[in-house]
Amino acid sequence: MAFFDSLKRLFSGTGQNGRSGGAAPSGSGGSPGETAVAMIPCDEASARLFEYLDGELEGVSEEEVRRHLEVCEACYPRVQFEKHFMEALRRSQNGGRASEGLRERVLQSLAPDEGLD
Amino acid sequence: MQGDRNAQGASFSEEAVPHMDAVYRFALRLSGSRDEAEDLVQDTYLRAFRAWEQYSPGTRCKSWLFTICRNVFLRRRERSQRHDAILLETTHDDPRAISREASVFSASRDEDPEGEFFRSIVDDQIFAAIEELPEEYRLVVVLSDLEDLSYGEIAEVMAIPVGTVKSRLFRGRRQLQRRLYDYALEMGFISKAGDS
Repeated sequence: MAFFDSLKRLFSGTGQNGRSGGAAPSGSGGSPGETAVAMIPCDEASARLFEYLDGELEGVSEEEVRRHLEVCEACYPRVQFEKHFMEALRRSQNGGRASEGLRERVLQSLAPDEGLD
Repeated sequence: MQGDRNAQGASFSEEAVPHMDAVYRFALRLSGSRDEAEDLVQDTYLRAFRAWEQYSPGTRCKSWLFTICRNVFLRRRERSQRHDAILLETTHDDPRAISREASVFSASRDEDPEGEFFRSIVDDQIFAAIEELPEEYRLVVVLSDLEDLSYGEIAEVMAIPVGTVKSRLFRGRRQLQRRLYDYALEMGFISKAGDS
């Protein structure tokens, strides 16, 4: 799948400098069986990148943004950039655990009322 | 009656207690103090348990506990008359406008366009950078990127519209990227474009 994505980017026909407000990638590179969907410009896809990565786009918007980002060579570094950033945040989550003492105190504070143990 | 109580206790143990680490982390981000965070967790769980009958099984227990935790925190803060600086929402909440704001991506484009430098930054530094964010940004970033809540769930926990969640989250991430980028420069993980 990654290999296929790379091929799509390679043959997408997007200009090297097409990211910011540049021409949208050509929609002519789709396979014959695919329904033609108009490509949105890079700045529009870029503006919705976080929503896309968060899985918060739905319907037409999701489809438009996904189609653009899958084939646009110019947007590829930005997608990777945001992914690496978000991975670093998730990785850092591992600190901060409730101590055993706290856990016990919480359970004990509930116990007199309801017999929780 | 006792049977009902036992069943209630069992379902609370199963659904709510496993989120204690997450509630503690959230409380720590809210208060900035381990002692206060522990008090908040205790208070949150006591209130949650007493209101357990009102909890709807369809909703996500973790975000419900976060909502209680935040409300407890706010009430305490009101009482102590301690007010953090209130962040002024700018009028440019359109994702396009936020996207056009100066980003680290543009700054690091020549040296490290795919942001590999993020991988070199140690967890403690990321923790510290999140701590330095203004409260409104910090909490939505924590809830989204560390606790994996949806925009809708964050909106409920924070009692703000989904549009505000998005603008705070995107701006918070941009500020965080800037802080981490500056740290990476300082540590030599990346060099500034034009530096030899």
